[in-house]
Amino acid sequence: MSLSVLNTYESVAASDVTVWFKAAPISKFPKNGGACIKYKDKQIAVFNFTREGKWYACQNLCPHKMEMVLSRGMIGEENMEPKVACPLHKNTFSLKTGENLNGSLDAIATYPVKIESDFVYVGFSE
Amino acid sequence: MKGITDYDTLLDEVGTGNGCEVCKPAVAAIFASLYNETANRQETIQDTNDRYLANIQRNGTYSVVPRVAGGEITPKQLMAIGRIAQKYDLYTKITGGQRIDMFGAKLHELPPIWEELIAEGFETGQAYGKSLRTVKSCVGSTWCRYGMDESVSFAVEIEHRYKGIRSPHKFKGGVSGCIRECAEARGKDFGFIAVEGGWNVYVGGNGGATPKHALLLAEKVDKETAIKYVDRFIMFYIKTAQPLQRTAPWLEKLEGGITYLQNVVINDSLGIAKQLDYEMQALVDSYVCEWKEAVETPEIRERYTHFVNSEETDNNIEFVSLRDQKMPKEWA
Repeated sequence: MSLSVLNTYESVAASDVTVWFKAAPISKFPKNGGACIKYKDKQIAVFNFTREGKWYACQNLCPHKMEMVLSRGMIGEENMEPKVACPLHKNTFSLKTGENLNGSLDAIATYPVKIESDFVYVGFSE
Repeated sequence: MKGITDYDTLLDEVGTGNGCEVCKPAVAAIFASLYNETANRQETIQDTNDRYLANIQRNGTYSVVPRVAGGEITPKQLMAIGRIAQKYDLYTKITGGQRIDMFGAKLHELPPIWEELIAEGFETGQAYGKSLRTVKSCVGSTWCRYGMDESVSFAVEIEHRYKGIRSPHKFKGGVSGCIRECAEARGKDFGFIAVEGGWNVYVGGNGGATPKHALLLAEKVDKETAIKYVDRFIMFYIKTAQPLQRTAPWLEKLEGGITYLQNVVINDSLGIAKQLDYEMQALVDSYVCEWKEAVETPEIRERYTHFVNSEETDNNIEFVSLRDQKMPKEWA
């Protein structure tokens, strides 16, 4: 897996969304956990913070070793910041900014999520 | 635990915030040790490997390890593992715990692989869990001309006794049929060595990063007594150790050390022996194979899919060949 794949993931701000992709019904996502969706050639990890009623999305690719695994990571929070811990080496990333919270890895791309009629939509700009 | 049985309630009643990757698996382990619930019930508080009941490897695929109690396996079972590994194109290797690890399974392949293994009479080996791994044995008096007692029979019995019990960290056992110690029982969390007049019982050993020989807990006791002492030792460890603390550092930090432990488990100095016996028996009696539970429960089985909106699988995973088998492509 090369850097070129990593470079296909760029954060999308809510104001820049041009496509709300209808991903899957909310029942497909574990409570207080994540699952992976496919959009075009992209793998996107979507997280259901059931306790707070909030949803987040990011690239499924961990920038550390370039494996498609972030959706299987444990979620939680650190200083009020929602985060995911990569299942391979426990590198943690903010699900708001994408920033690597416990190291100096590149930030991951994050995407807006909305819920309508029990369906999960992820926002893209292309 | 005030009768609390789920993570959300625990956070609401005694915690703050939304938890994290450190406290979730620690709490999951405590729930499991108290109630012996499998990792399937609260899957998102489990550490990586427990969530999918498999060991994640460096390319995001998983390895599969059925239980081979005491390292004893029939030719028919060996052929079944060979057939299944070949069918799913898995890399196979003999582990240090006398069993067979099959590597390179994609997430969606885990349930069908386990369905076939279970149909052949296998059950989960909990290689992914903070729980009993294996009880290693030498061939003992069954075959060995030096053997003082049946180490394989004892290892098989004790591995089935403790299988599935989740604990602060993984724990391993060993049974040797004589003092030549081919099973390396003193390098394990608990070990039995056959001697003239009974079994010597050792506890608190491990290999790993800080090797430590186990210490003698009791000498020349019969099998039932040996099991009783180790039952109490394990239960006492489960109830008092820090998360992710193995028995060796736990025993080192225990005030009074091995003498204190002997007093607790042999002389019942704390008056808790009956309770420890009861709690251990409750764990033993409530064992279920969590992989059987997973393959037979549609909601659990559904978790084993790479995408929730597509039948496709991860096209990012690449293998290269290695000595007639395969391995993950090098990291970029």
